[in-house]
Parts: sequence; C-alpha cells; structure tokens
Amino acid sequence: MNKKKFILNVILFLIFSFFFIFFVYPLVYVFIKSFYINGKISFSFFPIIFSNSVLRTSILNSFEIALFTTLLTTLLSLPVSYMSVKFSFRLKGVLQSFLLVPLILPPFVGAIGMKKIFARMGSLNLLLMKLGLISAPIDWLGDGGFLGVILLETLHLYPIMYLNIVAALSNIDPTMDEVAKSIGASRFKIFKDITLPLAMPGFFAGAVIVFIWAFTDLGTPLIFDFYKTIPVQIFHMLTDINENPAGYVLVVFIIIITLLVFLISKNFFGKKRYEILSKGFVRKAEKELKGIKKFLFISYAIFLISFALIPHIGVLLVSLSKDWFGTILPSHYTLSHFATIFKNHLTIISIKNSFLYSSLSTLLDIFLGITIGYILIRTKVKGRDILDSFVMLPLALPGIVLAFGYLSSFSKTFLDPRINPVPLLVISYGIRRLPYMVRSVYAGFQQLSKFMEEASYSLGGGKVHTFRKITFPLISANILAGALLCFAYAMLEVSDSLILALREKFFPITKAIYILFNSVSGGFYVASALGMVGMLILTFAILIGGKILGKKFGEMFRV
Amino acid sequence: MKVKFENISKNFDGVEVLRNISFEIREGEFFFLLGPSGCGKTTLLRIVAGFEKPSSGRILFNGKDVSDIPPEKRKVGMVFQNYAIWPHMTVFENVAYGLLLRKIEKSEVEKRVSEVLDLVQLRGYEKRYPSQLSGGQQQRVAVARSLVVNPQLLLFDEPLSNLDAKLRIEMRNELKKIQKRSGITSIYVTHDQKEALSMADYLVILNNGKIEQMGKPFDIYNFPKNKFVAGFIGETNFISGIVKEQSESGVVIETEIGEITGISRERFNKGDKVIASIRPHHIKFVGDQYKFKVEDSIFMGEYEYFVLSNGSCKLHMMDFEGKLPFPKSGDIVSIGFSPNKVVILKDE
Repeated sequence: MNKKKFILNVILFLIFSFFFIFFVYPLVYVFIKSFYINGKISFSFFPIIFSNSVLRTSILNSFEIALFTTLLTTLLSLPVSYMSVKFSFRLKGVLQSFLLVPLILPPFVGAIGMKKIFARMGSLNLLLMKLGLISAPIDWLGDGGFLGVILLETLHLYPIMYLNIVAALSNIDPTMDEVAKSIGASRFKIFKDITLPLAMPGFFAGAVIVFIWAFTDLGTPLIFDFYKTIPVQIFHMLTDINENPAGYVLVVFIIIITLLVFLISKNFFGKKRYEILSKGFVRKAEKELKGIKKFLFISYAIFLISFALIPHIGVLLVSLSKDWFGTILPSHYTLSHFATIFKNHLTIISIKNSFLYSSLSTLLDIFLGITIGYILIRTKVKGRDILDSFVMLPLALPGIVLAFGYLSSFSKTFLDPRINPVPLLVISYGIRRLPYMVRSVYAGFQQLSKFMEEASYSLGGGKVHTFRKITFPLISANILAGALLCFAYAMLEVSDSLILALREKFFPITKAIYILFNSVSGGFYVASALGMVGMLILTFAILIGGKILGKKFGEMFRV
Repeated sequence: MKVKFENISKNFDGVEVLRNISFEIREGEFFFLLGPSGCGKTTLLRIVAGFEKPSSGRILFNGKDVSDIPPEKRKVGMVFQNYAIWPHMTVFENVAYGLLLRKIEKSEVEKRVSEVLDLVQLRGYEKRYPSQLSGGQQQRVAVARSLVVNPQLLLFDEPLSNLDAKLRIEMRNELKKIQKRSGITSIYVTHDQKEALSMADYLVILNNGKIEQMGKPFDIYNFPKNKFVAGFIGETNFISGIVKEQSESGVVIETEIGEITGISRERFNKGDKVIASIRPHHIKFVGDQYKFKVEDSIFMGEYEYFVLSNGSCKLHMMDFEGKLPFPKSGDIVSIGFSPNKVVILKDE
C-alpha cells in the first residue's frame, strides 16, 4: 500500500513538474519581463500599448471582433439550437451533424477562399455586376478586412455556441416548463422566468470560449492583411522580441483579459449552476415539426450551413483553378497544384513535419491523458483536485500566449526554438489539446464501473495485467476518439506553428501555407491545395472521432 | 476455509460505518450479512475482499491475518451486484480469465471452464457475448468466473437485486444449490430478509455498523433478540407491557388490551418493562379474549389484510382462512393468538 502511494506521488510530481516547466514558467517569464524592469517592479511599460496609436486601435479592434463574433454566433445559433431541442423531424440527425462541420474547417485556410469570393473583384461582386444588380463593386469585407474577419470567425465558431446552447436547453427538464404552463404562465413568461435563467450558465460557458477564441485568433486576420489586431501585432513584434517590451505587455494584456472573462463568467454565472445536471433522467419533449415552421427552420439551417461553407468552397475552387482572375468562377481547372504539393520541396517537408509533430504530440497526450484520467477517477491521492483544475486550463489558454512564452522563455536554452523547434512544437501542440484527451479518457473511466477492475483483482489479476486486459480495452474507444481530435487539431494548429517554426526545414503545414500564400509566383494556388489536403485529413479524423464518441462529442468544446 | 472477524471498525471521513464487529464463519458455510441499506454490510464484504482496509481490527483466514495481503493474492472470489462481466469478452473468455492468469495449460483451462459452466448450467453459451445473455445468465457467468479458480472463499454482494421478482426466486435456489455443490465457504450480503431466511445456513443482522443478532434463520425469525430484529426480519406488531410472572410455559404480561402470554429465551423479573411481538399472520379470529374494532380491511388476493384497533392499540393482521362473513370497517371482532407465536422482548 505504501509502495503504491509512493509511486503515485512520484507520478503526480512528474506531471506537476511538466506543467510547471511548460505551462507556468513561460507565462511567469512573460509577466516578469513586462513588470520587472532593471531590477525593479515597474508598470512603466504598460502605458506604451495605450499611447501608441496603432496598438490602441489594435486593442479596440480585437475587442470589437470578439464582441461582435460572440453576438453574431449567438444570434445565428439560437434558432437552430431551439430547433434541435424542441422539435423532431426526419433527417434531423444529418442536419445536426452538418451544422457542426464549420468547426472543423480551419478559418485560417477559409480566409483564402473568403477573400477570393468577397473581395472587391471577387466572385460575388462580379456576379452581381453581371446580373446588373449593382454598378460598382461593394466592399463586403469592410474596412480593410474588419468585417471579413468577424464574418469568418462567426462562421467558424457558431457551432461552439450551438453545442453549448443545445446542451443548456436540453438539460432543462421539460416538466419545469409544464409546471409553469399548468399554473397559467404565458409562453413568453415561461421563456423569461424559467428557460432563460436555467439556460444562462450553459450559454455563458460557450460565449466565453467564442469570445477568447475570436479575441486571440492570429491566422484569420493575418490572411486578411488586417494587421491592427492584438495577435497580429504580437506576431510582428517577435522579430525584435529582445529589444521591444511591447510584445510582452500585449501578451500579459491578453492573459489578463482571458482571466477576467473567465472569472466574470464563473462568478456571475458559475455559482448559479443549478443542479439540473445531476439528474439522471430528463424526459425528452420533442414535438413533431410541421408545416410552415418546418420549412422556415430547415431552410434557415441549410442557409446557415451553406453560408459557412462558402469560404471553404472558395478554397477548393482556388486550389483547382488555373489563373483565376476577373471571372465569377475559374475559367480553367487543373489538378497541377495538387501535383505540385508532392513535388515542391517546402510542401513535402511540411507535410512530413506535420505528421511527425502531430503524431508525437498525440502520443504525449495519450500518455498524459490516461495517467491523469486514471489519477482523477481511480485514486484519492492528495493534489488530485489541483490537478483537476490545472488540466483544463490549456483550453482557455490562447495559442499565441503559449507560443510567445515559449519563444521568449526558452531562448538561449537547449530547447531554443530558433535552433530546433521540434520539442517545443510537439509540447505546445500536446499541452493545448490535452484537455480533449483528458475529457475523453475521463468519460471512459466514468462509464467503466470500478467493479470491472475489482472483479479482475479478485481473480488474482495484478494492477498492470488488469489495466492491460480489462481497463484499456474498455476505454480504448475513448482514447482513440481523443487521440484523433488531438491529432487533427495539431495538424492545423496556427499560432504555435507560425511563431515557433522559424526555419524552413522545420515548417509544418500551416506555416508552409502562410509562406506560400505570401510568396509571389502562384504560391497562392499551392497554398490552397495544401489547405485542402489539411482539411481532408482533419475531416477524416473528426468524422471517425465523432462516430466513436457519439453524443459525447459535443462535450469536447465546453469549459 | 474458516474466516474470523476480530474487532473490525471502519471510518469513512470520520463517519463510523462499522463498530467493533467480531464473529466467525465455519468451513463450507453459506453465511449471510443482512441489514438495511447503509448498515455497513457491503463495506464489511469489501474489507474481506481486500478492496477496503479496516480502520482497526483484523481478519483471519484459517487463523492467518490477511490484513496486508492485496485483493489479487487473497484467493477470494467476488460476485458483484452489477455482475461486472467484461463486455468485451465472450462467456468463455470471461470465465477462463482467472485460469489463464495462473498460466494453466490450455486443455486444462477448457476442461475446467466446461465443468464450471455445467455447474451453472451454461454449457453451449461459451461463444456468446454478455450483451446476448439475459440477466440471470449474466449472473451465472459471474458466479462461474469466480468459482472456476477454486477460491477459498466466495463473496456475493447483493447478486440478485438487479433481477426481476420471479427470476430472483428461481436464482435463490440456483445459487444455494451451486454453493452446496461446490462446498466453498461463502459470504452473501443482502437487504432482502426473505433471501437471507431462505438461503442462509447462518446469518448476522447488522444495523448502524453494529451486530444486532446472529443465528440460524429459524431462530432469528422466531426468537428475535430485540425490537429492531423483530421488525426488520418480517412484519410484526408491538404491544408494550409489564411482566406479571414467568414460568416453564411462558411469560405472562399485563398490557392495555389485557393479559398476554408469550415465550422468551430471556429471564425477566416481575415488573420488567417488555414488548410483545406478534406477527400479523399469527393473529386469528378465535376465542373471545380480545375485542377489536375493524378500522380498515384490504383484499390482497391470497389473504385479507386488516387494521384493527382497541383504544390506542393498533394491530395489523393477515387472515389466510377467509373468514365469512367478511368483516367490514366498524365491525367488532374477537381475535386470539397462540402463546408460542408471541415473543416477549426487553423494552430497551
């Protein structure tokens, strides 16, 4: 017994050390760099970001992007969420899965297609002019891409909102509504007094993720050449990271905002997490959807899905076109860009690299995820609750913050990404997606009655044998699903890759796309083709993961 | 194997769930731990299996302290309430698991699995997966899986509570037969007194982590030691009274409905406060000593259920004879009971 305890404590210590070195230390380092100047604690750097007009505008822009994205995703997803919870109809399942598709399509790649379609001389304007509906092109992307960024973030992130609102609504026992109805409350009153307050905590859980995601996304504004946002500013400051303190201060600013948003949502709404989740059984109250209502709901859902797919259809067209300019659709099609991918030195290396990094980071996640999941559910070791709260934090941590922290805190060490970024890339991919793995494994352990393991002990099976023969096979589906998600997201991770991979031979797919996109001769088409390849890999991984996890899939995207 | 419990106590976060439990189980016995939920019986069983450690006290297997032996080395088989059959393995694989662990030769494994499947009457089901079995069959797989490794001791944790009523009664006999045939000392935990009475060789009644009474089913049912046991082991009526005299033929007590004669294994003095326990089906419509008013009568099919009252004294009665004319609410009836069906208990 004591030996077992000792081993557990050693493992726990190693996990905490890992978190400390690769999670806490880089963040603390950034804090120190921005507040501890010439041996003194000082706030003298902070005014820099507000006095500089470019930075001031950037902060404002980032806030606006995050706010509008949160609002728009809420508005867009409310009708479909309501439809999902309250009504039943044929093919509802199919429609529901299609509603989630945009979540897996990286906005960073989508931006390329979006630009092609909505630009001043893009397909939409050309089409409208040809039809004679407008005489001069309209600036759809607005203000140098500002609207474009918001639109793309919204189309990418509404599924997160949708999943959270659906979860919140379906956790409300319909008898609650029925009780109110039976004592004579009107439909509006029921919504205002019962449904809304009960659904609020769930809604805010989703809103927080959407807000922070939009606030800290680097890839989308970068492709839109919309440089006045905090993440892009930080990205551009990386080159003089040692002389210019503004980067540190901006990263600290992001951390503070992230913390604030979480704290506010936890304290205002977390406290009121009504005990509806603890209930084992919630009766379904789905009504058959009929008539005009059915028509409206379904056409809205289809419109939403198609709209969200436009950017990616754009990418597909670009990747297949031969010199597409000044026409609504490409005039000539070719597969040569896809062929180029397998000939070009940069693309070949990047695909190889991405597979390598993602596989390694997935292995890291599997190992850590199983260990942590096991400790959380099957042991009572001290420090468990700290681990529990720690392990979910990376979900809230913006990629750009971690990457920036790594680049600055590990420079001039043996892990310096300027020399060899592979270890840090793998670890950053791993840490950021670890929550998916832990959640998945945790769910597996929860479903697995401990009696299954005890039955094996009672027959003489030792700990290791029992784990290998009983526990592992029974949670393998969860491990696989978690692993697929980790792998897929690592393949298309943007900020870590752009910031940490600094030499061509270490470039992963996303960095290669970015470099190709900005190169002069035809790189744009190859970038799109490479993006398509990435999306294909991602789609496969997620489809399989979703199939295995079923309904649990949605839980992956909640805090 | 003999099992001895020595002063076992267990705390969970400061809550005492077992207090100073001591008793012994004889070789080959089918031993029952009976008690209401939360009485500590499952905890006690898990201590025997080694899944929990007692806060104090020890357990001896054939005189040997097993406190420091981990579950996998105790040679104790356990049948769980939810069976815990592994869903990713066939019946054969489930049952053979423990044998393969012991590196037993393949032909020997097949032979022993067949034997044990014969014993639980599941031959021919080897290739099925648990999801293709009924509740009762799954239960028997779980029993077979534990039996096949020849454990020194077999533990049952409410193994029938997930079955429907009819199957439960069938399985009672099945399990009892299997236990007798295998001859393995077994401990069985349940909250169902009928299960315990019909299956046990010997039983312990637990309440609030303490032993209330131990004995054979017949003795416990007919001679409960106290009010809790009398009430828990079957439905009963309690009437308070004071001892008038005790003789060879029984105890005579004075109660508010008059004199009652009963039996007891205790010695009382004149004037002691006592309680008479009378089971509802031992009350008959005979004699004219006790007059009661019918408050309620319920037709139950195989018997009639009456609520009778006389002043502040209320009695429940089951009439299996079908008295005619059927007494209605408000009727006055006279009842009686045979003295050797009345148990006199100390009023604690």
